[in-house]
Amino acid sequence: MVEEFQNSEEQIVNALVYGLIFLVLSTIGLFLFFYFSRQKIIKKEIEKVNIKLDYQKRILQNTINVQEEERKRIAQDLHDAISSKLNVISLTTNVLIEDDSLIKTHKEALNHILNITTQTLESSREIAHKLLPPSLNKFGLKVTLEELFDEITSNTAIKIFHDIEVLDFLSKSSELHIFRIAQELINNALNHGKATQLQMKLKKGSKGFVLIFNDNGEGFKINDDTKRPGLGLQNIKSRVSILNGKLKIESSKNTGSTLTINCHSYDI
Amino acid sequence: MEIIDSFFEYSIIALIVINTSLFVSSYNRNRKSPSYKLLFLHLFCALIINLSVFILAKFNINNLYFSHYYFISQFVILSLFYRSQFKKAQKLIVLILLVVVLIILAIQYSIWPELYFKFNTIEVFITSFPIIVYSVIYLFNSLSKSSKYMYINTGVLIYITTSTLIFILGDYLSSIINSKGVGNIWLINKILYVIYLTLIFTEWWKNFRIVKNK
Repeated sequence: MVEEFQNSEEQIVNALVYGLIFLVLSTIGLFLFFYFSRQKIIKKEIEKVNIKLDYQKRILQNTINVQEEERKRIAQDLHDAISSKLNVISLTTNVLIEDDSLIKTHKEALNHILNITTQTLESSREIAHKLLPPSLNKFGLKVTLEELFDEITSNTAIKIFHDIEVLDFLSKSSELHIFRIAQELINNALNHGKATQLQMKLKKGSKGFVLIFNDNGEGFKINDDTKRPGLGLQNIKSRVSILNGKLKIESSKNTGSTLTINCHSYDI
Repeated sequence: MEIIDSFFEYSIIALIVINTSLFVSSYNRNRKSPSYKLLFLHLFCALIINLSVFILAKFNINNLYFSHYYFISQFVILSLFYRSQFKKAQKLIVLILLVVVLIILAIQYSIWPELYFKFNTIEVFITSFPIIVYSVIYLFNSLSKSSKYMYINTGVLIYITTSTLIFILGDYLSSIINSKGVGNIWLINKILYVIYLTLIFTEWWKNFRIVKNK
């Protein structure tokens, strides 16, 4: 009788041991369930963020394209509507001045009109040029870039060393993007980087091109979002991604910055 | 059997000592974090209780009342730990449960003070079950945001669930004399405690060893 009792006690205890092992395994199972659910949820969140980023990138690219279209249109309108009419004014005024029967004050007044009209023509031409340099369409990227460098070196104390190759496989819009990138880089170096020397190389690469820009100023403040929101750099990044290229920036406060753009997506 | 048993017993003591000293060594670095201090306190209490129980057992002195210290200190410290990690509404629940449980225990001991020298099953249950609930809530919270103390939480979940059941049966088991099975059950408890301490060690190794510089 005691033996029976002891046996059934033994059975209960054995059952308890197995029960406890079962409990441990269930707890581990619960933990694993939560762990894998967490991985899944995190993966979904990352996917969501990537879609959002992708969308934002496409909006930016679209904005840039629209911006260029606008600039082209305005430059065109300036040329057609304003420049041409101003030319007519100055020619007509020239004809009027030739008349010898004019009194002095009238002649002076006409000269005044001619001066102002010429100045306005100059300004209009400059505005149109800054919006969209006409030499880009006519003579290509190399000439336009060198023209830009000449303009800068003649108006400021900066030295620009350049080595630009002709890249004839680029489309007109790609050339425009590279030109804008160069414009933005030079502007940035002038206004914020406090540089005295710039260097730009544009060379043919394997299946594409390489652009290397280098300045000895304070460098791109990549992480500084206190002063400028970094619109210029964002602009450059968007254009690089439109060109299907890769951007690399090495920059520090004392050694200046080097910006490298690699593009290997062309079939030459 | 005896060897395995002793091995785990000594491992427990060794691990607690190692863990406590590791937490002391990185104490200055983490002085500001209240959760760290609570974990350190938890380890320290475990050290004292386990050492005392071990030594008293060697001299065959009754050490059953240490179980009360063990369960109550574990409950209070871990409650406060989880409270520091929870969101606002959850913090309130922890606080309420903390107060309710302590009041119940106070009432129980004032009416039946002789329970101090015996094994109190209700105490085991009401001090351990809330902790298990907190640990599952912590798992749930960690689904979409980052979980800082994942290893410790896992340890708490795995160890306390099973050891609570073991201790609840402790009263019954101690009445069974000739049984291998009972020894097995206490061995399971020891193994789980070693796993728990190892997870605390892993937590320290992964998160507290090196200070991350931003």
